[in-house]
Amino acid sequence: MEQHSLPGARFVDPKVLARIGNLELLAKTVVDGFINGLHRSPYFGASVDFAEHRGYMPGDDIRRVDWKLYARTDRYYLKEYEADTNANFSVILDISKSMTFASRGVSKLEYGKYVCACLAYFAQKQRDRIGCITFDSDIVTHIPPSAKHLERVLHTLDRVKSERKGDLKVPMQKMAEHFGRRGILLIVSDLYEDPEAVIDAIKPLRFRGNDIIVFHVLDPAEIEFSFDEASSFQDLETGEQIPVVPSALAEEYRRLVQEHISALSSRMSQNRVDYALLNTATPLDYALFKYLSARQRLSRVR
Amino acid sequence: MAFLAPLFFAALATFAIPVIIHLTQRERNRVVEFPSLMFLQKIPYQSVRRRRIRDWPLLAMRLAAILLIVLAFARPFFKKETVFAASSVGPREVVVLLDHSYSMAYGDRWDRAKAAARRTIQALSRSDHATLILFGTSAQAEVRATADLSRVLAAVDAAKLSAEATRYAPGLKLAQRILVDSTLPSREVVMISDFQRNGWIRDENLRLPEGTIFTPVAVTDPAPANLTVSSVLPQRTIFSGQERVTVLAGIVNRGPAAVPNVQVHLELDGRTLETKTVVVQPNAPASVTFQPFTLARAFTRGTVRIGDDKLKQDNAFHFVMSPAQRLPVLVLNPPGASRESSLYLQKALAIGTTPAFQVDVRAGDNLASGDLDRHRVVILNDAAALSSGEALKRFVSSGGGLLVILGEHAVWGTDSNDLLPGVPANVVDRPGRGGSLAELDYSHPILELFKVPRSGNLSTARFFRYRSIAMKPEPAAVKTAKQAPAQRVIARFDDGAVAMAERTLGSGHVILWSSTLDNYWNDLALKPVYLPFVHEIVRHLATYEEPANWFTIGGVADPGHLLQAAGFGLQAGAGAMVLTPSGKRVEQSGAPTPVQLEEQGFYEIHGRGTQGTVTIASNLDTAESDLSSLDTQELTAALAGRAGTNGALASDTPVMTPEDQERRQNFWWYLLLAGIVLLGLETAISNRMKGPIEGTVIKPMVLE
Repeated sequence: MEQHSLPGARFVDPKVLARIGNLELLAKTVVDGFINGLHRSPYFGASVDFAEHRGYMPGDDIRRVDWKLYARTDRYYLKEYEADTNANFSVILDISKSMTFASRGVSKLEYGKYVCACLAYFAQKQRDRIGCITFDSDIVTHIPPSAKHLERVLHTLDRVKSERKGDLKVPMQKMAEHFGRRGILLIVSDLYEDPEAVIDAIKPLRFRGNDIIVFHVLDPAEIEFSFDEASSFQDLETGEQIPVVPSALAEEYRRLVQEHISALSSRMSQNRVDYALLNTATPLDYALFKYLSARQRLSRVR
Repeated sequence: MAFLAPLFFAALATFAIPVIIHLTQRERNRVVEFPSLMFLQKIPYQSVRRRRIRDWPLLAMRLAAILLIVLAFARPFFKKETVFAASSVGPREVVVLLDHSYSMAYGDRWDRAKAAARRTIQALSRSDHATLILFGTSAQAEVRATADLSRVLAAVDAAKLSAEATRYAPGLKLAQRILVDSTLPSREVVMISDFQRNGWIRDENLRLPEGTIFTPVAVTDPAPANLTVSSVLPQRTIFSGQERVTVLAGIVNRGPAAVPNVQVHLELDGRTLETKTVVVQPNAPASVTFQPFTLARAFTRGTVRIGDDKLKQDNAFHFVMSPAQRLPVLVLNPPGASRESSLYLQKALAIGTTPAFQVDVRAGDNLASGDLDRHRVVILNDAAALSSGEALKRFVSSGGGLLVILGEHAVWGTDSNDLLPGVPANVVDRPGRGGSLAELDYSHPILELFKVPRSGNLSTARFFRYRSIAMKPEPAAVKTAKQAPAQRVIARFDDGAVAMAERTLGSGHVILWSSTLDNYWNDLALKPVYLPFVHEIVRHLATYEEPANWFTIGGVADPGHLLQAAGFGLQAGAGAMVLTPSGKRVEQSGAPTPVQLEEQGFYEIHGRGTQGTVTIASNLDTAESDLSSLDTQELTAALAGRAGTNGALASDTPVMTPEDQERRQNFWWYLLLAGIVLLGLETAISNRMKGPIEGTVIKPMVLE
């Protein structure tokens, strides 16, 4: 078990979590521990607060007109509030074949499943509506957001299987057409595409007004490239093989990966998409904590 | 050092294989599954470093193994020209058997064979004795056991191809005799031939003398192709009262490829009558049927010919045909009897082509001498030719045939009885179901045809009446001299009575039939067997032989017999002259003796004192056209037997073909073994080295 110096957090190694067969129990273990340790959630009580007034525009609902202010100013103003706490929360999990890679016992897919399960459970505690979408080169399963769908979401996550190669563009486009109501979308993927292509794929969802969180899941071996024996490297998705002498190109590889991550990070932030790199070696609750802390900071800024 | 298959050196190009394996095997050892090669593919590889070779000993071993294997396939051998003389102890008796059958005319086989024979003889020392035997169907020693090698060489130069087929036995038997008679300490036989499979009969119990070295020198070609006219079948038909002949020719392709557009010509008396085109599939026969033609004259010469190929001799097939001759038969009925009394006989003899019968029917009790001269067979149908007894005796003695059919009118006096094999006596009645033929002498030429089951059953006929015959006792002189009996019972009835008997008188025969040959005393005439039975009797009495359309080279032709069969009476002691196809005249004085046929084409036979000339066709033995070869080792093994023929010593002879020399030396085997051992060693060393040099052998970046 790895220990990190975050106050009040109880971190559990994903390898240990993997021994818990039940996904709900796993999520509960992680989230409850996380909440108990954190003492304060950034979402608590932050639901129906008044935000600001704005001028009336033709087409606005007249029920939202602040009549008291009209009496004082003789002008029509509408009251605006913070977002509803009963938001739609959808987890979008990449289940392409590249996600099955595991160098330490827990694959990226399993790690992604845990993350999705934990956040779904977490959102359930927030009384949010929970939905789930799995995709590879197309949408595989789709559970629309609902307050009663936690069980189904967990069940779906529990049963996912990697079969095909992945692609972001097509499934994201379909999702953009599907999500009529704005919500929080959590995308968990290894993002093996050009950063521009990733952004292009996600943009339509963002333009619909969704709040997008992207968890970029990578295995430590993918980041550090800790191979030492000259071997044939086979692409998990295409089956293509190339002979590789790791000692000679590890450095170059690491540089390229870091460039990729930083490019993703900067392009995401430019598009107001929350991005977080999750290493499958790091504990789940640590990842959650890191992310939610970032969210909290962001909400304060706004 | 020479190589049997130097083309295999092209396989040295495979040297690249171990180099490639050497350079690339490390990368292929292990496969690592990786989520995406997106970044790896972006990194350029360093191709120069990839070409570095670190394990020179391993590479050298791999290359050496390949070199050894390629050398093995190239079949190396050492040429040893001078070992022949040195290998033997003392002077040798060397018999060179040179095949001069016509198949040796294929391509340049004959030149190669003669060159091989010359090399063999030139390699002999002065103390050696050499014999040259030319063999085909027969064998003759051209030069026998001589130390004068120049004579033997001259005989080789003078040797000519024959038209004979290949037979190994005559030549080997002659060689065997020469070797047995030899007093020299070493004996060798060198057989130079194309070793056709057809020439060897396994059960020929041939053994060369103890210690004989047998060296087969095969003069063959890879996949020989040969087209041959294998047979000609002339068929006679009667069309509008005229006899016409349809020729059916068989063409055989003994090669591995189909031959399209084979032009087949039919020539008659030197003129091309018709040409047909046929496609002959590989190793298959094809037949060509020519339009029927009418034979204008006797001894018409016919030839079926195809275009030239590597073996021209078997591309023509000759035959001789004459218009069919009708066999004259006289049927004599009792005086006053109607013509229909011999109806069944007439009808039976009216049918038939080999031969066709010309039947004259007469009634009476006497025969004119002219009648007998004009006919070959006389049938006395229930007639007693009492007054013609002496004339009949003369007729039969000079080769005529007489069939005596006994009925109720046939009365034979004692003066004529000695013409018959027995004395006709009283009539025997067989009431009820009648009698049948029970005891048949199938060895007699008349009944030979019915010997095989389901080929005619004479015992189905019922005999209700016949004349008993008292057979005459054999003269004592005949018995003591152990001559062939002059009279013979051919068939008996089921009660033991004689049904048919024969008497030989001079060169003719008399057949006595004790019942009628119509449906009066028996129902034989109603049985299917009646027709062939009557034909066989008349053929036998006329001593008829179907004329041969051709003879095969190696066989014999009897000029006297041929002239006589053609109707050209030969005067006693007049002699004959035979003109061979090559124009050679063979004079025969006195009684003609059989002539051995040695040439392909038409022989002409002239009888002295006769106006006629008989032509016969002589063809090659078509079995020789099959050029498939015998395994010389099989022949060597068969000849070795108890004699202990040492084939291994023969490998040193300079006359051996490279194939034989290579086969004896067998270097390829050792080279192949060494190559395999080296490969095994390399694998072991490579496996041992694999651990320590892991990851350090090659330092390429990425190989595409």
